[in-house]
Amino acid sequence: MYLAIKEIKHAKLRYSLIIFTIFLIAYLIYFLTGLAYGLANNNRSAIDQWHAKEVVISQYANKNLAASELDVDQLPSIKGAQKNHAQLAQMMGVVSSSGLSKQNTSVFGIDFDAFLKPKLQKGRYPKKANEIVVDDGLQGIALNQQIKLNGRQQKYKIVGITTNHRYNTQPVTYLRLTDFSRMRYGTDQITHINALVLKGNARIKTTDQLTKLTIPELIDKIPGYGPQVKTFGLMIGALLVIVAFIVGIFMYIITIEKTAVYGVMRAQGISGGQLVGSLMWQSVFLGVIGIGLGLLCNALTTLVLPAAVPYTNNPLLIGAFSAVLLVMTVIGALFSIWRILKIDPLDAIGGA
Amino acid sequence: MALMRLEKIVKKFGAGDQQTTALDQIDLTIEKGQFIGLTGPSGSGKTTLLTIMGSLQGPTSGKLFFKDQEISQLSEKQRSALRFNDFGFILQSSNLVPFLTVEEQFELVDRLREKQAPQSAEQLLTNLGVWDQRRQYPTSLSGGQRQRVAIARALYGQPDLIFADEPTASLDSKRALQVAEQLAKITKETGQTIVMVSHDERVLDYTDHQYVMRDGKLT
Repeated sequence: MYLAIKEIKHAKLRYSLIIFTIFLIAYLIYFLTGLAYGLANNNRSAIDQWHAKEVVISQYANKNLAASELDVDQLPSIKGAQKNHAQLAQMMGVVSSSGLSKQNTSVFGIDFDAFLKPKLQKGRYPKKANEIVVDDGLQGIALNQQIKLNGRQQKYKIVGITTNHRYNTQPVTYLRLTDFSRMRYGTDQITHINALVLKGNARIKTTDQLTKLTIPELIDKIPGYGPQVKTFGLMIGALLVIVAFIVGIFMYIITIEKTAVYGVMRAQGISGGQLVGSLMWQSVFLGVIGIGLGLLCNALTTLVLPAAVPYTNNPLLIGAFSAVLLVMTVIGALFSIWRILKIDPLDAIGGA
Repeated sequence: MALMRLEKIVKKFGAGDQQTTALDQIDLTIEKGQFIGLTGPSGSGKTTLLTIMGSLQGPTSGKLFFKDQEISQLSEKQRSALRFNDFGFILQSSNLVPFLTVEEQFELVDRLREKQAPQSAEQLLTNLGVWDQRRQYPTSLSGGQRQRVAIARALYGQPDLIFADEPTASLDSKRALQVAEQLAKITKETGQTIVMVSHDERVLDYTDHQYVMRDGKLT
């Protein structure tokens, strides 16, 4: 450790460059992670807050909630407590209002007494017909504002506002099931829904018309979600491997340059193990400082990014990637070990 | 008891037709407190002999004894410990670590050595006239200062045997003579033994015994 620190202090520029490189990669990884996680969240946050176990949708729907349609009269009986199952209707929608540009939304029809009800930021749950709850992801909305949905004449009154309730990246608008039914099918009678959501001890026997999906499956089948997560995952994974190579190459070049110095130290009887130890300590130092700077910069970035950018820091993910980064830095330095151990004390003499 | 004894040391390099014999049946006994000079034309094998005595490499055949213990068959790890604890090296270029200041060179040894050095670094550096340069890096020292620091470093911990490879090669004649004088003084004062390879006749005048190498043979 002594040798490691002394050498870094002596060759500040050289080691600063390595730290700078590690920092850049660490920062890029954190940035991508923030974007990936934020985007993933935008796809699923409305579903996550149900804390449900599974959903039942149409067999033909190809595991896509939006494509599913269940006839309420033909549903098999459900075992388990009443409070553990709920009906969900869903469709894509467009919110409009005088003085507001049109905005996309995902419309959820739910029973506000069931567990699917969203957590409110402001306001209250709908009590009467044509009262709705919207997510503050919609721009320019306020409590008691009247809006239109999907070009219908009917005006809806915003009585509650949620935050961070999104499905398939769209802010969610919550309607009572009867209002949803009237908007979509023109009748107050609830005849069709998209899914049954189950939690706890609720059980259902599926028919060949129905299919049961766990919540993670449902999320994974949100159009675009899977490929998106995979793409980011691959980029981050590649960066983690690249960092090992960059540190490896840097350290290897430095090691080659220092062959004569190592030779001198070996001649003086300083063991190869001590030199390797110094190299390992150096890589840990460089890694920790580089990663620390990356974290710092990420924190600053979070502060200045506009709200429109879907950027969410997940402490668990950041922690895990930091740990992997540090391990990769040390692995990079391992490339040079055999080179150091190969150094002959005779190198100090410069050929016999 | 002889400090170091060489019996029929042979060192060959290469293999097959390319094989050359660098050392041919060398017998040599070194007593404690001697200042020994090793000279000869280049390519005669004197540095090779020095590296074998200093356990930087092993001989092809023959036996090497240090204080009556055979050391020719030690593992690299054991040799490393032997060099660290019992030998000192003064090399032609410089045996200093470039990223450590003069005093840190000694601190490094302190950190790796369990027992306290019998002679303080301050004393050694003062005796050699480079105490004032203790906070400088080797690159900012003059050639003579660097070589004197290297000598102090080699003497640190009072090794029984000090190997010097052309210690005066990079110095002007005035400095070279001073260094030789200091080495001679050390053997007289502390009873340490020095084996020095050198071309320089004036420097060799300070040694107690001179051996001349010619084509791998000692004369």
